[in-house]
Amino acid sequence: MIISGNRTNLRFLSDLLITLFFWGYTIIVMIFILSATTGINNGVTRTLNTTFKTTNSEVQAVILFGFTIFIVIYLLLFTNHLYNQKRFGHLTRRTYPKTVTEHDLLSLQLMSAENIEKLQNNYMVFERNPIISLEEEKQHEESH
Amino acid sequence: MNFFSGPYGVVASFVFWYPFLMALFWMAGSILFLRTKENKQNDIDIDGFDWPMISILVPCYNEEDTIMETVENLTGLSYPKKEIILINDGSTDQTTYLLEELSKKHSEVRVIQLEQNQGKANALQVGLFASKAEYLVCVDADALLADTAPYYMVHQFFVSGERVGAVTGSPSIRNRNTLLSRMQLVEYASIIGAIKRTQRLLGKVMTVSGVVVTFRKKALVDVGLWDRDMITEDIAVSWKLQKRFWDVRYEPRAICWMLVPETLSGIWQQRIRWAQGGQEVVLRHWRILFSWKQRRLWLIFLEQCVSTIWAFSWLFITLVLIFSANTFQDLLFWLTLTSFFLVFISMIQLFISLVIDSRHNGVMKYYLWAAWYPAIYWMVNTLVVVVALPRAIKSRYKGGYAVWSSPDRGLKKS
Repeated sequence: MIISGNRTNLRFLSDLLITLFFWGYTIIVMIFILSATTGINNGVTRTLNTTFKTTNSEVQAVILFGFTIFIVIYLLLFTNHLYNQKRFGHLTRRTYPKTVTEHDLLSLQLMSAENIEKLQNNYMVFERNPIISLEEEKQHEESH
Repeated sequence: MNFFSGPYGVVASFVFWYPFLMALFWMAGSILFLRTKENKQNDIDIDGFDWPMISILVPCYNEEDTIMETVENLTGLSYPKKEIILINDGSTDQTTYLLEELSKKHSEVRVIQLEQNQGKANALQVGLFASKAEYLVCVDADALLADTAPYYMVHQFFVSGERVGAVTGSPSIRNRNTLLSRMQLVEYASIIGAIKRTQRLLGKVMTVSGVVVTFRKKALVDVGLWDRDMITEDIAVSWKLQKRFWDVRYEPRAICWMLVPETLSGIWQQRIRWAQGGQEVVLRHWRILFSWKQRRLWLIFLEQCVSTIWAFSWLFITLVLIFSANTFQDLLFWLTLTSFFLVFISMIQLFISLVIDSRHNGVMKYYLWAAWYPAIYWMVNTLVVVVALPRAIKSRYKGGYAVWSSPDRGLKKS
Protein backbone atom coordinates (compact mmCIF):
# COMPACT_ATOMS: atom_id res chain seq x y z
CA MET A 1 0.00 0.00 0.00
CA ILE A 2 2.67 2.50 1.03
CA ILE A 3 5.04 3.52 -1.76
CA SER A 4 8.56 4.00 -0.54
CA GLY A 5 11.95 3.64 -2.13
CA ASN A 6 12.70 4.93 -5.61
CA ARG A 7 14.93 7.54 -4.05
CA THR A 8 18.68 7.75 -4.29
CA ASN A 9 20.71 7.79 -1.08
CA LEU A 10 22.24 11.09 -2.12
CA ARG A 11 18.81 12.67 -2.47
CA PHE A 12 17.70 11.24 0.85
CA LEU A 13 20.86 12.52 2.51
CA SER A 14 20.38 16.02 1.14
CA ASP A 15 16.73 16.04 2.30
CA LEU A 16 17.85 14.90 5.71
CA LEU A 17 20.60 17.47 6.00
CA ILE A 18 18.35 20.40 5.11
CA THR A 19 15.68 19.06 7.46
CA LEU A 20 18.25 18.79 10.23
CA PHE A 21 19.26 22.38 9.51
CA PHE A 22 15.66 23.47 10.08
CA TRP A 23 15.56 21.30 13.18
CA GLY A 24 18.65 23.12 14.40
CA TYR A 25 16.77 26.38 14.03
CA THR A 26 13.65 24.88 15.66
CA ILE A 27 15.65 23.55 18.60
CA ILE A 28 17.20 26.97 19.20
CA VAL A 29 13.66 28.42 19.19
CA MET A 30 12.51 25.76 21.67
CA ILE A 31 15.52 26.21 23.96
CA PHE A 32 15.14 29.97 23.95
CA ILE A 33 11.41 30.07 24.67
CA LEU A 34 11.41 27.23 27.20
CA SER A 35 14.49 28.61 29.01
CA ALA A 36 13.15 32.14 29.04
CA THR A 37 9.75 30.93 30.23
CA THR A 38 11.22 28.91 33.07
CA GLY A 39 13.73 31.64 33.88
CA ILE A 40 16.77 29.44 33.25
CA ASN A 41 19.39 31.66 31.73
CA ASN A 42 21.94 30.20 29.38
CA GLY A 43 23.98 31.29 26.42
CA VAL A 44 21.03 31.07 24.04
CA THR A 45 18.67 33.16 26.17
CA ARG A 46 21.34 35.76 26.91
CA THR A 47 22.33 36.12 23.26
CA LEU A 48 18.82 36.18 21.90
CA ASN A 49 17.42 38.44 24.59
CA THR A 50 20.13 40.92 23.65
CA THR A 51 19.48 40.51 19.91
CA PHE A 52 15.71 40.87 20.29
CA LYS A 53 16.08 43.62 22.92
CA THR A 54 13.78 41.65 25.19
CA THR A 55 13.80 40.06 28.65
CA ASN A 56 12.73 36.72 30.09
CA SER A 57 9.73 38.32 31.75
CA GLU A 58 8.45 39.59 28.40
CA VAL A 59 8.70 36.11 26.90
CA GLN A 60 6.99 34.71 30.00
CA ALA A 61 4.17 37.24 29.55
CA VAL A 62 3.46 36.10 25.98
CA ILE A 63 3.60 32.40 26.90
CA LEU A 64 1.35 32.97 29.91
CA PHE A 65 -1.05 34.94 27.73
CA GLY A 66 -1.05 32.11 25.16
CA PHE A 67 -1.66 29.51 27.84
CA THR A 68 -4.52 31.55 29.32
CA ILE A 69 -6.10 31.99 25.90
CA PHE A 70 -5.77 28.24 25.28
CA ILE A 71 -7.61 27.48 28.54
CA VAL A 72 -10.30 30.07 27.73
CA ILE A 73 -10.84 28.64 24.23
CA TYR A 74 -10.93 25.10 25.60
CA LEU A 75 -13.49 26.04 28.25
CA LEU A 76 -15.60 27.95 25.73
CA LEU A 77 -15.63 24.99 23.35
CA PHE A 78 -16.39 22.63 26.22
CA THR A 79 -19.24 24.84 27.43
CA ASN A 80 -20.61 24.95 23.90
CA HIS A 81 -20.37 21.15 23.76
CA LEU A 82 -22.22 20.76 27.09
CA TYR A 83 -24.87 23.29 26.05
CA ASN A 84 -25.50 21.47 22.77
CA GLN A 85 -25.69 18.14 24.54
CA LYS A 86 -28.15 19.40 27.13
CA ARG A 87 -30.23 21.54 24.80
CA PHE A 88 -30.40 19.30 21.74
CA GLY A 89 -28.85 15.94 22.67
CA HIS A 90 -32.08 14.19 23.62
CA LEU A 91 -34.05 15.50 20.66
CA THR A 92 -34.77 13.53 17.54
CA ARG A 93 -35.48 16.36 15.25
CA ARG A 94 -36.11 14.36 12.13
CA THR A 95 -37.19 10.90 11.30
CA TYR A 96 -34.90 8.95 9.01
CA PRO A 97 -35.28 10.27 5.47
CA LYS A 98 -37.19 8.19 2.96
CA THR A 99 -35.36 6.60 0.07
CA VAL A 100 -34.95 8.49 -3.17
CA THR A 101 -37.62 7.70 -5.75
CA GLU A 102 -37.52 8.04 -9.52
CA HIS A 103 -39.90 10.96 -9.09
CA ASP A 104 -37.32 12.70 -6.84
CA LEU A 105 -34.65 12.23 -9.48
CA LEU A 106 -36.87 13.48 -12.29
CA SER A 107 -37.92 16.50 -10.23
CA LEU A 108 -34.31 17.69 -10.33
CA GLN A 109 -34.96 18.32 -14.05
CA LEU A 110 -31.40 17.41 -14.88
CA MET A 111 -31.90 14.23 -16.84
CA SER A 112 -34.60 12.50 -18.84
CA ALA A 113 -36.25 9.26 -17.63
CA GLU A 114 -34.86 7.58 -20.74
CA ASN A 115 -31.28 8.46 -19.87
CA ILE A 116 -31.75 7.41 -16.24
CA GLU A 117 -32.92 4.03 -17.47
CA LYS A 118 -29.95 3.77 -19.82
CA LEU A 119 -27.59 4.49 -16.95
CA GLN A 120 -28.77 1.41 -15.13
CA ASN A 121 -27.08 -0.73 -17.81
CA ASN A 122 -23.80 -2.44 -17.17
CA TYR A 123 -21.82 -0.59 -19.83
CA MET A 124 -22.96 2.63 -21.39
CA VAL A 125 -21.40 5.10 -23.77
CA PHE A 126 -22.74 8.64 -24.03
CA GLU A 127 -21.50 10.74 -26.90
CA ARG A 128 -23.27 13.75 -25.41
CA ASN A 129 -23.54 14.54 -21.73
CA PRO A 130 -26.79 12.90 -20.52
CA ILE A 131 -27.34 15.74 -18.05
CA ILE A 132 -28.78 19.01 -19.27
CA SER A 133 -26.32 21.80 -19.93
CA LEU A 134 -25.43 24.40 -17.30
CA GLU A 135 -27.26 27.05 -19.31
CA GLU A 136 -30.46 25.03 -19.33
CA GLU A 137 -30.04 24.32 -15.61
CA LYS A 138 -29.76 28.06 -14.94
CA GLN A 139 -32.87 28.72 -17.01
CA HIS A 140 -34.76 26.14 -14.92
CA GLU A 141 -33.58 27.75 -11.70
CA GLU A 142 -34.58 31.22 -12.87
CA SER A 143 -38.02 30.05 -13.99
CA HIS A 144 -38.74 28.69 -10.46
CA MET B 1 5.03 44.23 25.40
CA ASN B 2 5.10 46.39 22.33
CA PHE B 3 6.03 44.13 19.43
CA PHE B 4 4.72 46.36 16.75
CA SER B 5 5.01 50.06 16.30
CA GLY B 6 5.20 52.42 13.38
CA PRO B 7 2.70 53.08 10.60
CA TYR B 8 2.03 49.40 9.86
CA GLY B 9 1.81 48.29 13.51
CA VAL B 10 -1.82 47.19 13.29
CA VAL B 11 -1.23 45.04 10.21
CA ALA B 12 1.97 43.58 11.66
CA SER B 13 0.15 42.84 14.89
CA PHE B 14 -2.60 41.04 12.98
CA VAL B 15 -0.02 39.06 10.99
CA PHE B 16 1.44 37.77 14.25
CA TRP B 17 -1.57 37.31 16.52
CA TYR B 18 -3.97 35.68 14.05
CA PRO B 19 -1.93 32.50 13.39
CA PHE B 20 -0.82 32.42 17.03
CA LEU B 21 -4.38 32.45 18.34
CA MET B 22 -5.69 30.12 15.62
CA ALA B 23 -3.03 27.55 16.49
CA LEU B 24 -4.32 27.63 20.08
CA PHE B 25 -7.87 27.30 18.77
CA TRP B 26 -7.10 24.25 16.61
CA MET B 27 -5.16 22.64 19.46
CA ALA B 28 -7.95 23.17 21.97
CA GLY B 29 -10.53 21.91 19.47
CA SER B 30 -8.68 18.75 18.50
CA ILE B 31 -7.92 17.84 22.13
CA LEU B 32 -11.56 18.35 23.08
CA PHE B 33 -12.74 16.34 20.04
CA LEU B 34 -10.45 13.54 21.14
CA ARG B 35 -11.80 13.63 24.70
CA THR B 36 -15.49 13.99 23.91
CA LYS B 37 -15.89 12.11 20.62
CA GLU B 38 -12.94 10.01 19.51
CA ASN B 39 -12.23 8.36 22.86
CA LYS B 40 -15.87 7.37 23.21
CA GLN B 41 -16.13 5.63 19.85
CA ASN B 42 -16.62 1.93 20.28
CA ASP B 43 -15.58 -0.56 17.67
CA ILE B 44 -18.44 -1.46 15.38
CA ASP B 45 -19.94 -4.92 15.18
CA ILE B 46 -19.36 -5.68 11.50
CA ASP B 47 -20.92 -9.13 11.50
CA GLY B 48 -23.95 -8.22 13.60
CA PHE B 49 -25.23 -5.35 11.48
CA ASP B 50 -27.47 -5.39 8.42
CA TRP B 51 -25.33 -3.25 6.15
CA PRO B 52 -27.22 -1.33 3.43
CA MET B 53 -26.15 -1.43 -0.18
CA ILE B 54 -23.62 1.20 -1.24
CA SER B 55 -22.66 2.57 -4.62
CA ILE B 56 -19.00 3.40 -4.95
CA LEU B 57 -18.61 6.22 -7.47
CA VAL B 58 -15.22 6.70 -9.10
CA PRO B 59 -14.92 9.61 -11.54
CA CYS B 60 -12.02 8.99 -13.92
CA TYR B 61 -10.18 11.51 -16.02
CA ASN B 62 -6.95 10.22 -17.58
CA GLU B 63 -6.38 7.64 -14.87
CA GLU B 64 -4.57 4.94 -16.85
CA ASP B 65 -1.74 4.77 -14.28
CA THR B 66 -3.88 4.07 -11.24
CA ILE B 67 -7.37 2.90 -12.14
CA MET B 68 -6.60 -0.84 -12.35
CA GLU B 69 -5.13 -0.87 -8.84
CA THR B 70 -8.02 1.21 -7.48
CA VAL B 71 -10.67 -1.10 -8.94
CA GLU B 72 -8.82 -4.21 -7.70
CA ASN B 73 -8.87 -2.62 -4.24
CA LEU B 74 -12.57 -1.75 -4.42
CA THR B 75 -13.67 -5.14 -5.73
CA GLY B 76 -11.64 -6.77 -2.96
CA LEU B 77 -13.39 -4.90 -0.15
CA SER B 78 -15.27 -7.15 2.24
CA TYR B 79 -18.29 -4.82 2.40
CA PRO B 80 -21.18 -7.19 1.59
CA LYS B 81 -23.49 -5.22 -0.71
CA LYS B 82 -21.82 -2.90 -3.15
CA GLU B 83 -21.74 -1.78 -6.76
CA ILE B 84 -18.81 0.08 -8.26
CA ILE B 85 -19.61 2.72 -10.84
CA LEU B 86 -16.73 4.06 -12.91
CA ILE B 87 -17.51 7.25 -14.77
CA ASN B 88 -15.07 8.12 -17.51
CA ASP B 89 -15.07 11.88 -17.82
CA GLY B 90 -13.90 12.16 -21.43
CA SER B 91 -10.40 10.80 -20.87
CA THR B 92 -7.91 11.19 -23.67
CA ASP B 93 -5.54 8.40 -22.61
CA GLN B 94 -6.06 4.64 -22.32
CA THR B 95 -8.62 4.97 -19.49
CA THR B 96 -11.54 4.33 -21.85
CA TYR B 97 -10.20 0.92 -22.89
CA LEU B 98 -9.14 -0.03 -19.39
CA LEU B 99 -12.61 0.71 -18.03
CA GLU B 100 -14.20 -1.40 -20.75
CA GLU B 101 -11.96 -4.30 -19.76
CA LEU B 102 -12.74 -3.83 -16.09
CA SER B 103 -16.49 -3.93 -16.70
CA LYS B 104 -16.06 -7.29 -18.47
CA LYS B 105 -13.85 -8.68 -15.75
CA HIS B 106 -15.85 -7.75 -12.64
CA SER B 107 -19.58 -8.31 -12.35
CA GLU B 108 -20.08 -5.62 -9.70
CA VAL B 109 -18.32 -2.97 -11.83
CA ARG B 110 -20.47 -0.76 -14.04
CA VAL B 111 -18.92 1.65 -16.49
CA ILE B 112 -20.26 4.87 -17.95
CA GLN B 113 -18.23 6.37 -20.76
CA LEU B 114 -18.79 10.09 -21.24
CA GLU B 115 -17.08 11.30 -24.37
CA GLN B 116 -17.04 14.96 -23.31
CA ASN B 117 -14.92 16.13 -20.39
CA GLN B 118 -17.19 18.29 -18.25
CA GLY B 119 -15.65 18.05 -14.82
CA LYS B 120 -15.75 15.89 -11.74
CA ALA B 121 -19.05 17.26 -10.44
CA ASN B 122 -20.73 16.41 -13.73
CA ALA B 123 -19.30 12.88 -13.61
CA LEU B 124 -20.50 12.44 -10.03
CA GLN B 125 -23.96 13.64 -10.99
CA VAL B 126 -24.10 11.02 -13.73
CA GLY B 127 -22.92 8.44 -11.20
CA LEU B 128 -25.71 9.38 -8.81
CA PHE B 129 -28.34 8.89 -11.50
CA ALA B 130 -26.79 5.51 -12.29
CA SER B 131 -26.59 4.33 -8.69
CA LYS B 132 -29.01 1.85 -7.18
CA ALA B 133 -28.07 2.47 -3.55
CA GLU B 134 -29.05 5.10 -0.99
CA TYR B 135 -25.46 5.64 0.15
CA LEU B 136 -22.83 6.85 -2.28
CA VAL B 137 -19.18 6.35 -1.43
CA CYS B 138 -17.18 8.73 -3.63
CA VAL B 139 -13.54 7.83 -4.09
CA ASP B 140 -10.85 9.35 -6.28
CA ALA B 141 -9.45 7.16 -9.03
CA ASP B 142 -5.99 7.13 -7.44
CA ALA B 143 -7.15 6.19 -3.95
CA LEU B 144 -7.34 2.89 -2.11
CA LEU B 145 -9.86 2.30 0.65
CA ALA B 146 -8.96 0.50 3.86
CA ASP B 147 -11.23 -2.53 4.17
CA THR B 148 -13.02 -1.14 7.23
CA ALA B 149 -13.49 2.38 5.83
CA PRO B 150 -16.96 1.87 4.25
CA TYR B 151 -18.24 0.25 7.47
CA TYR B 152 -17.09 3.16 9.62
CA MET B 153 -18.56 5.76 7.29
CA VAL B 154 -21.90 4.04 6.67
CA HIS B 155 -22.31 3.26 10.37
CA GLN B 156 -22.38 7.00 11.12
CA PHE B 157 -25.69 7.30 9.26
CA PHE B 158 -27.24 4.88 11.76
CA VAL B 159 -25.91 6.34 15.04
CA SER B 160 -28.41 9.14 15.67
CA GLY B 161 -27.77 9.85 12.04
CA GLU B 162 -31.13 11.02 10.79
CA ARG B 163 -29.66 14.42 9.92
CA VAL B 164 -26.36 13.13 8.54
CA GLY B 165 -25.96 14.03 4.88
CA ALA B 166 -22.29 13.13 4.46
CA VAL B 167 -19.49 11.43 6.31
CA THR B 168 -15.96 12.32 5.36
CA GLY B 169 -13.14 9.86 5.87
CA SER B 170 -9.50 10.40 6.67
CA PRO B 171 -7.03 10.56 3.79
CA SER B 172 -3.63 9.05 4.47
CA ILE B 173 -0.74 9.50 2.09
CA ARG B 174 0.66 6.48 0.27
CA ASN B 175 3.68 7.92 -1.47
CA ARG B 176 6.24 8.70 1.18
CA ASN B 177 9.41 8.68 -0.81
CA THR B 178 10.14 12.35 -1.29
CA LEU B 179 10.57 15.35 0.90
CA LEU B 180 7.48 17.03 -0.52
CA SER B 181 5.26 14.02 0.06
CA ARG B 182 6.51 13.67 3.65
CA MET B 183 5.82 17.33 4.31
CA GLN B 184 2.30 16.85 3.01
CA LEU B 185 1.96 13.74 5.16
CA VAL B 186 2.63 15.85 8.25
CA GLU B 187 0.26 18.52 6.99
CA TYR B 188 -2.62 16.11 6.27
CA ALA B 189 -2.24 14.32 9.57
CA SER B 190 -1.87 17.42 11.70
CA ILE B 191 -3.11 20.66 10.23
CA ILE B 192 -6.01 19.23 8.21
CA GLY B 193 -6.91 16.70 10.93
CA ALA B 194 -6.91 19.37 13.64
CA ILE B 195 -9.05 21.73 11.60
CA LYS B 196 -11.59 19.00 10.75
CA ARG B 197 -11.82 17.90 14.39
CA THR B 198 -12.34 21.43 15.69
CA GLN B 199 -14.85 22.36 13.02
CA ARG B 200 -16.77 19.16 13.66
CA LEU B 201 -16.89 20.08 17.32
CA LEU B 202 -18.48 23.38 16.34
CA GLY B 203 -21.05 21.51 14.28
CA LYS B 204 -20.04 22.55 10.75
CA VAL B 205 -17.04 21.73 8.60
CA MET B 206 -15.46 23.69 5.78
CA THR B 207 -15.35 20.69 3.50
CA VAL B 208 -15.58 16.95 3.15
CA SER B 209 -12.48 15.32 1.68
CA GLY B 210 -13.26 14.81 -2.00
CA VAL B 211 -10.93 11.82 -2.05
CA VAL B 212 -13.16 9.81 0.31
CA VAL B 213 -16.66 10.72 1.38
CA THR B 214 -19.97 8.94 1.75
CA PHE B 215 -23.17 10.81 0.94
CA ARG B 216 -26.78 10.07 1.67
CA LYS B 217 -28.41 10.19 -1.75
CA LYS B 218 -31.53 11.84 -0.31
CA ALA B 219 -29.44 14.73 1.02
CA LEU B 220 -27.72 15.26 -2.33
CA VAL B 221 -31.04 15.26 -4.16
CA ASP B 222 -32.41 17.69 -1.56
CA VAL B 223 -29.65 20.22 -2.28
CA GLY B 224 -29.67 19.77 -6.06
CA LEU B 225 -26.51 17.63 -6.31
CA TRP B 226 -22.94 18.88 -6.80
CA ASP B 227 -22.28 22.29 -8.37
CA ARG B 228 -20.84 21.80 -11.84
CA ASP B 229 -19.50 25.33 -12.05
CA MET B 230 -17.40 25.26 -8.87
CA ILE B 231 -13.74 24.27 -9.11
CA THR B 232 -13.87 22.20 -5.90
CA GLU B 233 -17.11 20.27 -5.90
CA ASP B 234 -16.38 18.84 -2.44
CA ILE B 235 -16.22 22.25 -0.72
CA ALA B 236 -19.26 23.49 -2.62
CA VAL B 237 -21.46 20.50 -1.80
CA SER B 238 -20.42 20.60 1.88
CA TRP B 239 -21.75 24.12 2.12
CA LYS B 240 -24.95 23.32 0.25
CA LEU B 241 -25.65 20.38 2.55
CA GLN B 242 -24.97 22.34 5.72
CA LYS B 243 -27.01 25.30 4.57
CA ARG B 244 -29.94 22.90 4.28
CA PHE B 245 -29.11 21.63 7.81
CA TRP B 246 -27.73 18.27 6.80
CA ASP B 247 -24.91 17.25 9.11
CA VAL B 248 -21.43 16.53 7.81
CA ARG B 249 -19.50 14.18 10.08
CA TYR B 250 -15.82 13.37 10.25
CA GLU B 251 -14.81 9.74 10.72
CA PRO B 252 -11.04 9.59 11.38
CA ARG B 253 -11.09 5.78 11.43
CA ALA B 254 -12.20 5.58 7.79
CA ILE B 255 -8.76 5.56 6.22
CA CYS B 256 -8.30 6.14 2.51
CA TRP B 257 -4.83 5.78 1.02
CA MET B 258 -4.13 8.47 -1.52
CA LEU B 259 -1.33 9.85 -3.67
CA VAL B 260 -0.10 13.42 -3.42
CA PRO B 261 1.91 15.53 -5.85
CA GLU B 262 5.65 15.25 -5.56
CA THR B 263 6.63 18.31 -7.52
CA LEU B 264 6.36 21.94 -6.51
CA SER B 265 4.35 22.76 -9.62
CA GLY B 266 1.98 19.87 -8.84
CA ILE B 267 1.40 21.08 -5.28
CA TRP B 268 1.11 24.66 -6.49
CA GLN B 269 -1.65 23.77 -8.99
CA GLN B 270 -3.50 21.62 -6.47
CA ARG B 271 -3.38 24.24 -3.73
CA ILE B 272 -4.44 27.03 -6.09
CA ARG B 273 -7.48 24.94 -6.95
CA TRP B 274 -8.27 24.31 -3.28
CA ALA B 275 -7.87 27.97 -2.34
CA GLN B 276 -9.90 29.08 -5.34
CA GLY B 277 -12.62 26.60 -4.39
CA GLY B 278 -12.79 27.96 -0.85
CA GLN B 279 -12.97 31.52 -2.10
CA GLU B 280 -15.63 30.67 -4.68
CA VAL B 281 -17.77 29.24 -1.90
CA VAL B 282 -17.33 32.39 0.17
CA LEU B 283 -18.33 34.50 -2.83
CA ARG B 284 -21.38 32.35 -3.53
CA HIS B 285 -22.71 31.97 0.01
CA TRP B 286 -22.00 35.39 1.58
CA ARG B 287 -25.70 35.92 2.23
CA ILE B 288 -25.57 33.43 5.10
CA LEU B 289 -24.15 36.28 7.18
CA PHE B 290 -27.61 37.85 7.16
CA SER B 291 -29.42 34.72 8.32
CA TRP B 292 -29.55 33.91 12.05
CA LYS B 293 -30.48 30.32 11.16
CA GLN B 294 -27.11 29.93 9.42
CA ARG B 295 -25.14 31.28 12.39
CA ARG B 296 -23.25 28.03 12.90
CA LEU B 297 -21.72 28.49 9.44
CA TRP B 298 -20.59 32.03 10.24
CA LEU B 299 -17.48 30.92 12.08
CA ILE B 300 -16.06 28.87 9.22
CA PHE B 301 -17.14 31.51 6.72
CA LEU B 302 -15.36 34.23 8.69
CA GLU B 303 -12.30 32.05 9.23
CA GLN B 304 -12.04 31.61 5.46
CA CYS B 305 -12.38 35.38 4.90
CA VAL B 306 -9.94 36.37 7.65
CA SER B 307 -7.40 33.80 6.44
CA THR B 308 -7.53 35.36 2.97
CA ILE B 309 -7.08 38.85 4.43
CA TRP B 310 -4.22 37.51 6.55
CA ALA B 311 -2.43 36.13 3.47
CA PHE B 312 -2.53 39.56 1.83
CA SER B 313 -1.47 41.24 5.08
CA TRP B 314 1.51 38.91 5.43
CA LEU B 315 2.54 39.63 1.85
CA PHE B 316 2.21 43.35 2.46
CA ILE B 317 4.28 43.31 5.65
CA THR B 318 6.92 41.11 4.02
CA LEU B 319 7.23 43.50 1.08
CA VAL B 320 7.45 46.46 3.46
CA LEU B 321 10.20 44.65 5.33
CA ILE B 322 12.11 43.88 2.15
CA PHE B 323 11.91 47.40 0.76
CA SER B 324 12.64 49.15 4.04
CA ALA B 325 15.57 46.94 5.05
CA ASN B 326 18.87 48.74 5.47
CA THR B 327 20.99 45.70 6.19
CA PHE B 328 20.91 42.04 5.26
CA GLN B 329 20.12 41.25 8.88
CA ASP B 330 16.85 43.20 8.58
CA LEU B 331 15.71 40.73 5.92
CA LEU B 332 15.99 37.69 8.15
CA PHE B 333 12.46 37.61 9.44
CA TRP B 334 13.01 34.07 10.75
CA LEU B 335 15.28 35.64 13.34
CA THR B 336 12.73 37.83 15.09
CA LEU B 337 10.96 37.30 18.37
CA THR B 338 7.53 37.05 16.70
CA SER B 339 8.80 34.39 14.28
CA PHE B 340 10.19 32.47 17.23
CA PHE B 341 6.82 32.49 18.97
CA LEU B 342 5.05 31.36 15.79
CA VAL B 343 7.54 28.54 15.21
CA PHE B 344 7.18 27.48 18.84
CA ILE B 345 3.39 27.37 18.80
CA SER B 346 3.34 25.75 15.37
CA MET B 347 5.64 22.90 16.45
CA ILE B 348 3.49 22.26 19.51
CA GLN B 349 0.35 22.20 17.37
CA LEU B 350 1.94 19.82 14.87
CA PHE B 351 3.08 17.55 17.69
CA ILE B 352 -0.31 17.38 19.42
CA SER B 353 -2.19 16.87 16.17
CA LEU B 354 0.19 14.14 15.02
CA VAL B 355 -0.15 12.33 18.35
CA ILE B 356 -3.94 12.39 17.97
CA ASP B 357 -3.96 11.32 14.31
CA SER B 358 -1.29 8.70 14.87
CA ARG B 359 -3.81 6.60 16.80
CA HIS B 360 -5.39 5.74 13.45
CA ASN B 361 -2.53 5.71 10.98
CA GLY B 362 0.77 5.63 12.90
CA VAL B 363 2.29 8.74 11.35
CA MET B 364 4.09 10.01 14.45
CA LYS B 365 7.52 9.06 13.13
CA TYR B 366 7.09 11.61 10.34
CA TYR B 367 7.38 14.42 12.91
CA LEU B 368 10.98 14.52 11.76
CA TRP B 369 9.77 16.28 8.63
CA ALA B 370 7.60 18.76 10.55
CA ALA B 371 10.42 21.30 10.88
CA TRP B 372 9.79 22.39 7.30
CA TYR B 373 6.29 23.56 8.04
CA PRO B 374 6.95 26.64 10.23
CA ALA B 375 10.15 27.43 8.36
CA ILE B 376 9.05 27.36 4.73
CA TYR B 377 6.05 25.29 3.73
CA TRP B 378 3.26 27.56 5.00
CA MET B 379 4.61 30.38 2.84
CA VAL B 380 3.70 28.44 -0.29
CA ASN B 381 0.18 27.99 1.04
CA THR B 382 -0.07 31.69 1.82
CA LEU B 383 1.09 32.78 -1.63
CA VAL B 384 -1.39 30.32 -3.12
CA VAL B 385 -4.26 32.15 -1.41
CA VAL B 386 -3.08 35.45 -2.86
CA VAL B 387 -2.83 34.04 -6.39
CA ALA B 388 -6.14 32.17 -6.15
CA LEU B 389 -8.32 35.17 -5.24
CA PRO B 390 -8.39 36.87 -8.66
CA ARG B 391 -9.03 33.47 -10.25
CA ALA B 392 -11.98 32.87 -7.92
CA ILE B 393 -13.47 36.27 -8.73
CA LYS B 394 -12.95 35.73 -12.45
CA SER B 395 -14.45 32.26 -12.27
CA ARG B 396 -17.55 33.53 -10.41
CA TYR B 397 -17.95 36.25 -13.00
CA LYS B 398 -17.40 34.00 -16.00
CA GLY B 399 -19.30 30.86 -14.90
CA GLY B 400 -19.26 27.67 -16.98
CA TYR B 401 -18.14 24.12 -16.30
CA ALA B 402 -15.31 23.73 -13.80
CA VAL B 403 -12.88 21.46 -15.61
CA TRP B 404 -9.36 20.74 -14.36
CA SER B 405 -6.58 18.22 -14.75
CA SER B 406 -5.40 16.06 -11.91
CA PRO B 407 -2.05 17.14 -10.47
CA ASP B 408 0.85 14.75 -10.73
CA ARG B 409 0.41 11.71 -8.49
CA GLY B 410 3.98 11.32 -7.40
CA LEU B 411 6.60 8.80 -8.30
CA LYS B 412 5.71 5.29 -9.27
CA LYS B 413 6.65 2.27 -7.27
CA SER B 414 10.22 1.22 -7.71
